[in-house]
Amino acid sequence: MNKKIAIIAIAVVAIVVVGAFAVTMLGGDDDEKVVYWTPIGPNLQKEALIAGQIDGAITWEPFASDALLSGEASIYKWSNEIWEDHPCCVVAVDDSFLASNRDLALRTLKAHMVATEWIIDTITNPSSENYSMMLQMGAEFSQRSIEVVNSSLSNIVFTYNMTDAFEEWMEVITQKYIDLDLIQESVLETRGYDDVGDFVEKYFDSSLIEEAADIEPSSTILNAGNPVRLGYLIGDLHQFSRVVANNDTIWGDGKDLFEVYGVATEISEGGPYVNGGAVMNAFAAGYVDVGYLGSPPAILNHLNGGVEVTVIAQVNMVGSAIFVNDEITTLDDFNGKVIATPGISSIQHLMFLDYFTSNGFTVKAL
Amino acid sequence: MGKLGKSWKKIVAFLRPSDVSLKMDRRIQLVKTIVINIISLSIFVAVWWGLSEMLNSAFLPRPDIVFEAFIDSFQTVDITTGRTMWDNILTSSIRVAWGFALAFILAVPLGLMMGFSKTFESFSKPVVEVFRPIAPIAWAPLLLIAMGGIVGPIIVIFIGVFFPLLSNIIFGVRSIQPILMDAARTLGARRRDMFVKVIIPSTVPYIMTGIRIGLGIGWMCVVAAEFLGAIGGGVGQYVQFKTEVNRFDQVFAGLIVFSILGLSTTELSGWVERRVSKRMGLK
Repeated sequence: MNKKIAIIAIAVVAIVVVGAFAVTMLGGDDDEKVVYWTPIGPNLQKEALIAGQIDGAITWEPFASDALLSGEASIYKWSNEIWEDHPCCVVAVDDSFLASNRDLALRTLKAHMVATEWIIDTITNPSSENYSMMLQMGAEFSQRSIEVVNSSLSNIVFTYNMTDAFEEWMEVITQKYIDLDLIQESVLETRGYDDVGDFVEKYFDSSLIEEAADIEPSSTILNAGNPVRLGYLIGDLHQFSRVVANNDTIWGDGKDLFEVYGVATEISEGGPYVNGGAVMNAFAAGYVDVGYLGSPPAILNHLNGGVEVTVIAQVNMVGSAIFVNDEITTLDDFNGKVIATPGISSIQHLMFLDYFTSNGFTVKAL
Repeated sequence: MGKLGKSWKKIVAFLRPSDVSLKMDRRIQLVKTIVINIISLSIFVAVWWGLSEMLNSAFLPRPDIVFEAFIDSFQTVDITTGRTMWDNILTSSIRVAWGFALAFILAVPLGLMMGFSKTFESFSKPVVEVFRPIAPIAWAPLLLIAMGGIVGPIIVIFIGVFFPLLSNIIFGVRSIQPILMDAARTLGARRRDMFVKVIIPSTVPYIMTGIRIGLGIGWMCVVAAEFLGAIGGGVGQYVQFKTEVNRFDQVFAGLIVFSILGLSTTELSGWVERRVSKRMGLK
């Protein structure tokens, strides 16, 4: 009897081990085209490609230009070729902060607007001293070379207005999330919106841009000892306006642009963040007053997670890319390959999902 | 007293624990247990529903919404993972199976030897005692980097299952009644005979207990490993991704799946443990 028990026990273990091994080795449908994704922060994607951990990545500038100019990767597609003239990052403000500190929020927005205009002007004057200074700022912030920054800035469109075209895109992105079942349509009603159009109209509030336009600089800091907490992404040149606004060598008197408009700022707890979802989580945790993040995570986490923020300005359009190793030159080459994205709640991930699913691929997490 | 009152009295009388009777029908006892379980779960769901309505928070979706997400996760391929919940369950189960199998293969002979031989125990114990107190989940980040997202989670589970199993086996060997050992020696049993015919059979119930405990810990370990970066899917990866997109209905659905998986494997091993113990006349 005891022998029987021992034999049965050993047999059970053997069956479990062999069964697990057999199932592990089972392959999928040979006719299915599959592309795998894995979350890797943009600042680590090039290294992961070189190490052979991934076959490509979708990322924001400067990391696309960095991979390209390093000679280790080629650009398969710029984001503009996937979604033409797509908006990207936005400025969001915590609703309770906006309600109790509207003036500070407007002044912060004003600094963003002025910084954006400075960037737009400077880019059109590549021989100017400001241009060299801008490249230097970008290099220090992104920890990339001047050449990479120069290439990156040529691939990004900086803007702050939320135009009709922008709002149409926000409706498209929201609908894409609903179609992919990443957002349930019923949640619109839960959050107090009638439909997608109503959501976009209310959530993206361009009235503050008009209000902020008339704000003048302040000789004093209006929130001394209680700085506005800024959330933003790691090394993301899309959000270069924040970098320029935080620079204290351009605007005189050793002040940064936020201080020129009377606002003390500091980086928020846990920042800078790896993706926009992390920024929204930081909003939810109460760490961020004003955040720079992708528009899709601003939509996703507000609707799904009820994170109470309002989007008050655009930051940039386009400026992302899919870079790949030399094994990939055509769409079919992506079959079986591993592509890194900044994370599931990023605009890059949504673009990746949309592009490959609409081209007949099954997308699987690695 | 009205009809409702009489019916209630009958229900209470039916459910109230009665004096132990050798003639009590086991099926009635089973039905009673099931009814009480259903009532308990119903109260839990009702409280959950009420809290969800009261708090109106995205972090606590209603039970019906969670149930819908639970069913849907099995029926449709999830866009974020490219897998159904069946795929994820299979992946997580395979990881647990591998980790458990490795732990079993190593812990049983090691535990028996450590319990049987004082010399061997003195040799092994220092190393075992250094690693035993370390929570298996603490190994996850290191193992995922060092061994990758496929082998790493299995080793985490192995560590989680190994130590409870080892401890129970050693305890089992030490718990053998000395009179049994003396009797075996008196009957001429040599050291090898003692080991094979007395010690191993006597420790089988303790092995089963160690398996039951280890499996519970194994499921906790697979959750942590899949959260931190296991490759190839899994229920933990599903929960982690759904947390990132704030789909808390799906997060709860994933947690319920974990609960069912953990409960069913530990209950199954507990049933096996009871059968084995009964068969061996130990209970």
